[in-house]
Amino acid sequence: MRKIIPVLTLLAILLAGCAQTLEHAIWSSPSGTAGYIPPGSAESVLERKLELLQAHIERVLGVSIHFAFMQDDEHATSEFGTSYLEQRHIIIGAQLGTQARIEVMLHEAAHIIMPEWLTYSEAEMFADAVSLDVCRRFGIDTKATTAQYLAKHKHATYILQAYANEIAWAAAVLSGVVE
Amino acid sequence: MSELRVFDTFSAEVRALLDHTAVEKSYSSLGPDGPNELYDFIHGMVGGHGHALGEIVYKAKRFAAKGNREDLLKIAAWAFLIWRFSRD
Repeated sequence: MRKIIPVLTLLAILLAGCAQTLEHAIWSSPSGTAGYIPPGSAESVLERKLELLQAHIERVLGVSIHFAFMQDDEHATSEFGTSYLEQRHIIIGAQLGTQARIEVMLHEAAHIIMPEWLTYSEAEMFADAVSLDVCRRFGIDTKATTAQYLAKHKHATYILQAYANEIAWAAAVLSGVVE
Repeated sequence: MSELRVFDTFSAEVRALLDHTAVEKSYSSLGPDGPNELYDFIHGMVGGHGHALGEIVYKAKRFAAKGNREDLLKIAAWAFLIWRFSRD
């Protein structure tokens, strides 16, 4: 019996923890859109967000955004996304899924409005930090992919502190909430 | 802000805020009662009025800390948008 008591105690703690996590998630969800969303329709919600975001970025930054396969594009710096500052043009990899398109679109949009003197790694750190911030504001969790991508630019992490205000400003512009 | 503290002044300031904010952010404005593409965007991205409510809380806290009356106008502007676009 004595051996069982610690196990039962541990189980009780774990169950209480699960309940608290659920309670936190419930309170964090907006009441205005409360209701059952059948699995599968989350993708259509994400697609709607992609449409809204594309229209917003095109309007606010005065750029055009297109989706295309860039493997054979000699001017493209990446097969996932490329921004052309002079032409005010952004191309997103057509092979990407909806959430990836959102992440990359925000990343490329951040390149358009970032300080122009940043080095390649600094620019990547800046742009992905902005993308992460905007996604977080709109309830899209991209922290894992951001961290994984930026791992190859670890030497430029100081940008997150040094340009914290500029990153926050760019995120606010792309979110439509800058004061 | 005008020193004349009457309701008409307050509502005129809120109206100006609602008009100018959209234009400053590259959105057109047909007045507070016209289409509001900027609010549609934020509402659609957040999936509700969560952002607007957050703005109200943030500005209320900022007013409590700093006492800038413009924050009260911004609170009223956000409250109007929620009131206008809320479903019954």
